[in-house]
Amino acid sequence: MKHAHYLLGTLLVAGLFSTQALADGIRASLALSKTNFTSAEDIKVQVTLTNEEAVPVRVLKWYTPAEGVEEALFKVSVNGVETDYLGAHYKRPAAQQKDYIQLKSGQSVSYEVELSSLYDLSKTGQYEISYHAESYTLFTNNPGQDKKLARLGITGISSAPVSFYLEAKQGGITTTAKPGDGGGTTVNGVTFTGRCSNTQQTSILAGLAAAKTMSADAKSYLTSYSSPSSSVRYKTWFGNYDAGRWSTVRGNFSNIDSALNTQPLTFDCSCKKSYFAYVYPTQPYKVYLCNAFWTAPTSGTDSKGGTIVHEMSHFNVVAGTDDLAYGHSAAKSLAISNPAQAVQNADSHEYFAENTPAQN
Amino acid sequence: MPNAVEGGQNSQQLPLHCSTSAGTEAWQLQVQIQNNDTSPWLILRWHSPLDAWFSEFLQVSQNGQKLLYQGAKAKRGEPSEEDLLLLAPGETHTEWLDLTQAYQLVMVPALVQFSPIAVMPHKPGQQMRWQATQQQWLLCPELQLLPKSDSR
Ligand SMILES: [Zn+2]
Repeated sequence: MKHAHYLLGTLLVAGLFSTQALADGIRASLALSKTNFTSAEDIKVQVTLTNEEAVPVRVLKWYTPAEGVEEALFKVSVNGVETDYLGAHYKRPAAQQKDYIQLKSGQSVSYEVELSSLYDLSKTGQYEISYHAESYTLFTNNPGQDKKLARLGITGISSAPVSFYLEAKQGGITTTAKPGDGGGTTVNGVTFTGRCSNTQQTSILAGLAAAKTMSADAKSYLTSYSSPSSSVRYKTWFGNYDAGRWSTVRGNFSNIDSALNTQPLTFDCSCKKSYFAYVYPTQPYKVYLCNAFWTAPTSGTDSKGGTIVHEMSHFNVVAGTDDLAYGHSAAKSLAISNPAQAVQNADSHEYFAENTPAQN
Repeated sequence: MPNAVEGGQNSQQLPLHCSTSAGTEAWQLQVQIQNNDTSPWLILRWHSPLDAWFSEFLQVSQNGQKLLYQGAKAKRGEPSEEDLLLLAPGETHTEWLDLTQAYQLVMVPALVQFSPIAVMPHKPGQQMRWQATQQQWLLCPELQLLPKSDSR
């Protein structure tokens, strides 16, 4: 009788320990490539999850970076104050078997995560970051099992903190983080939404500077060119000279130039389509940047600067242009066959502004 | 209204057929593209009903006035495979459009006109690649939509 009691006790304790051990069973560790960053750089952290259990463990993907970061997986603070998570929070159905990844005993998985697109890193200071994923369904989608784990306080994966120093951008920076919409960061009057990383923000600002240079040049050319009727540059993109059409184009560039320099611009980085960019012409001044934008040069043909000019021209309050012909050769043909449409065409404005190769 | 019918030919005897009809819900419509050929065709999604709402491919008017397009306009480079739809011989592709997603309509009849759709014959087994020189234009018939009281 006594003997039997003892056995039962051992089993209970063993059972408890093996579950308890699960809490430490998935170890998270973070690594940074360096400890000093400027806000022109992306901040990449390596996340490693290791199963230190003697048995396989399943982990809910949503709380790992397995398919990109889709929850606030990190605790990030600057100078001791917690910063906002700007990324997505997903509303999801109940977790199913397929939503779990299995780690064998001793197995590790590593993911690289870029932080500046996910957290508000707009302040200068000492940042501390740790991994902190918590969910009652983190390790199981079995309701009985997760209640048991919850009672034991086993709900998360955490890591020790790592820290880095970040020198933020000069100038006025405000952040308006609204949960769910990706938040937004405003730098010198330009707002970024849709998780623009630091390098994306830097290349947008370079593209914007190029767009301003191009549109100022286009405007001054159209205002002061001595003999419009013999302008090769105009004729290439807008066809035969006509005083009314010349003045339409001059007005368009005057508006583009003014919008670029005086209006609050927003750039959104969430688009994953193959396009360069898109806008809603009725919703100035927000430009959605897509895949082709990121690989475009800063200036020249089909550049970042030119794309921004193109998109600005679409806004109804700016020039209300259409997309009637895409690309250099179609835009040139349109200038010959239909000058009235050419002065309505967004790419024609872009190519006139880019002026590559340069024409007088 | 984008109607850049540049290059290619506008063929009346295309083996493709486009039909348009009103949907069951208010301001909804259906566009069907049918391939009556014995070989496949490619359809360029851009500026077609397969591109809702990333380009202005319709002209919608009420009381004789063109309505303001409120969808998006996109800048694109060269068409890639994801911009093309392969329509097999005998196949019909159907798109439903909800005009309220891009236009503000009032309770009077609306006239809907379609931009020509760029199409191209395709050799079976070949890589899907758009060639502007082989492009032809498929016309879709205009459609009159009557207002329906929304039961919701
Ligand atoms: Zn455009």
